Amino acid sequence: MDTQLRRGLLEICVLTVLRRGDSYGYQLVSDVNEIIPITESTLYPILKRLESSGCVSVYSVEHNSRLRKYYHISDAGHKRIADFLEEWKEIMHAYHCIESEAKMQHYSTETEEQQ
Amino acid sequence: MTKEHFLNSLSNRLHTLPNDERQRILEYYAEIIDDSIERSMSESEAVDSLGAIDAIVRDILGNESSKTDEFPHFTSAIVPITAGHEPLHSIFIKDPSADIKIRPCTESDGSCNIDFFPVECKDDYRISNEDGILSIRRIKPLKKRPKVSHNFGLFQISVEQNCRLTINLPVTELRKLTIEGLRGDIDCNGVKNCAEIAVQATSGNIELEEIECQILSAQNFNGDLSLSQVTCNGEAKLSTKSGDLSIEDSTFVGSMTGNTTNGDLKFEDSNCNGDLHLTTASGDLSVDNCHCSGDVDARSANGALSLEDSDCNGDLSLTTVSGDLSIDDCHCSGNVSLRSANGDLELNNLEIADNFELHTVSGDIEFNDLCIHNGPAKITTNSGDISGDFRDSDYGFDVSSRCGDVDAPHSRGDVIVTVRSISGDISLSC
Repeated sequence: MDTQLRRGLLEICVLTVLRRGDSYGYQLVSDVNEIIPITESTLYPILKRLESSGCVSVYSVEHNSRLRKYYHISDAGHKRIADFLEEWKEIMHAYHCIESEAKMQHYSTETEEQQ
Repeated sequence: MTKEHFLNSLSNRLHTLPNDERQRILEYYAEIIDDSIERSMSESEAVDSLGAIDAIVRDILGNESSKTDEFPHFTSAIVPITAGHEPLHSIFIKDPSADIKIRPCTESDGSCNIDFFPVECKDDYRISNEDGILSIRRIKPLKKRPKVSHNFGLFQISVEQNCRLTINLPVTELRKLTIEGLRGDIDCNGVKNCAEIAVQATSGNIELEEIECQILSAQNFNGDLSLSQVTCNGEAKLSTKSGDLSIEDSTFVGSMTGNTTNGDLKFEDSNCNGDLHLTTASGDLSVDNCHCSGDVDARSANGALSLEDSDCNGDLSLTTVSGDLSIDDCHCSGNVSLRSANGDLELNNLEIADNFELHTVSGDIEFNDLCIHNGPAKITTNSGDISGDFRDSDYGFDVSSRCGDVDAPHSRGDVIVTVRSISGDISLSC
């Protein structure tokens, strides 16, 4: 998949998981993995970018006598998801047209071959 | 791998990143490892589940560099130059900013390679290859130097990296190699197939090492000029203004001229078969463990001048104005002339075959173990004191001071030694 596209998609997936509730690194990796494959080292830059663009805020909580970083989705984060869905309506529309066109052609070549 | 081991090696691999950013990354991975262990993984399983450290570093650095660096890839571009109709015989390089390295050939077919670092600076040059002359010129000014950070544990420094040009010479015999630099350093090492080498810089340093040539000229202004293991079969001319000039382990078959203005001049462990001329205005001049078959002429205005463990088959002439002059353990087969205006003169274990002339205006003269084979010798000063000890006693002394005290041994031989002072004291012994 195109890196730029994949990166954008991963950002939305992380935000979507965070919409369920605040979460931390380990949990995010396993939750996002249910939607799209992600590793720890790919998650890190995504979180960093989301934080610097103001889509998530970060706070630390003491857990078993150590600190754990939690990520919280902000209003800007919610808006990111809404924008994504809006934008993708158009893309999905184009996708369906491309898909049905390809199917039609596939069907017509098949019938030609049969004749 | 343990968590600690993993974090340490990750930290080492990320040394180019700023400290706080690296710290954030280490905390992130530490937290994930701790959480994995909490979900009943063993420590090594938790570390292993993160994948290969190489891939992790690549993910992180790949992401960092594309955003922050002007020069994202610190790689070089190698441009091969193939010989045209005529084999390459001359190389001309003009570059005001890059560091230039010249290295011996790596290709056997008469072609040569130019290595540009970083890769982006390649487009700033015009390279032409006509009639056997390869010309490499920087045509665009350097916009911004790439920065490299170095981490030393407690502190971190960010250094501007100079562009670097490495030229691997062709294997063919070259007539001339010309390098005109300015701010960058010039480093020429292992070049033995060039008849003439001409190097010039302004504030960068010039280093010439393991070189063999017929004619050598090197000129620098503020930067240093240093030669090591250089063999020049013809004439050599070296000069700096405020940089130091140092020559080590080198052989000059022809004449050799070295000049500095404020910089120090050193000529060490070297041989000169022709005449040797060394001059400095205010720098110090020193010759140590050298052999010279021709004449030696060394001059200094304010700097000190010293000659040690050396011998000279021709005439030796040393002159200073206000610098001190000292000679230790030297031998000269020709005539010797030593002059100083205000500087003091100190000689230890000096052997002279022929004429010996020593003169100061106001500097004192002191010598030990002085040996003069044929003479005559003339030691004179206007207002300085003279005190000395001769190795042998077969001298015919002619000693006088107009105002000072005189103490001299009796004459016992044919070698005439004339010692004169106007107002200083004279004290001699054999």
